[in-house]
Amino acid sequence: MPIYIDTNVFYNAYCPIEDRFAADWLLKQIDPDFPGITSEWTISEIFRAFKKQVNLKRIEERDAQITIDLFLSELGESIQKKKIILIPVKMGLIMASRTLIFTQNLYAADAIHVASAREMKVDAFITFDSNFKKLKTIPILNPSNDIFQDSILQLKANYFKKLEKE
Amino acid sequence: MTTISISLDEELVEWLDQLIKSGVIKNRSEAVRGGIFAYIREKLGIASREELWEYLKQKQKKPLQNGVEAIRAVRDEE
Repeated sequence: MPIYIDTNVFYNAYCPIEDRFAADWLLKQIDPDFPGITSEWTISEIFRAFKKQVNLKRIEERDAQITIDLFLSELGESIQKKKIILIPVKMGLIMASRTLIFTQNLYAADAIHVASAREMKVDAFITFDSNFKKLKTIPILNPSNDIFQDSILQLKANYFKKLEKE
Repeated sequence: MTTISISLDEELVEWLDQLIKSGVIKNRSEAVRGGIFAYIREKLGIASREELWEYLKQKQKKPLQNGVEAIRAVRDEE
């Protein structure tokens, strides 16, 4: 499976901040032949992240809700079109997170995301968060890196070649 | 997949079926599925992420946190 998309990528894609362009570019690259994978947990993290922006008095609650509604609408459409695959948080993944928490000292939510990515055997884990750099088992790609777009296009090309062979 | 029944005007059904015949849409279900998301965006009054960025630029009281800060803060709460 091609790529796992961490929550911060979705968050950035919906905020008027500098990193939105890289996040938006990535979301425009995924399609049914090169799907993005994320956990169901991502959705809850997005809710909480925008609620925190309200608590920090950066936006009004109404605008946070509008942002979340657009996110849900686009996510729903992407799932329907098979551009995004949502991974349920099941007991097996929670148990898999135990090893990650103990061996890599990951936080609980980070471990759920990584366990989901590993379960789906992704080629790369996409995140803006440099905390994931320490992971050795999955290639980590940061959208703010200069070579990010080339790396994704290369991954995409390799994935299509693999599909053709199959 | 769950099957549901919905009520549509006869004229709308005929119009849909014409679009299916001419190959614009595959079937009635596809039209309804596509229509749901378009309808939600119309209700929101924001059709795309680009429009949302412009809207939030006007409405935000302070710049929003970036994704790493915001999501790290969420994960640190646990």
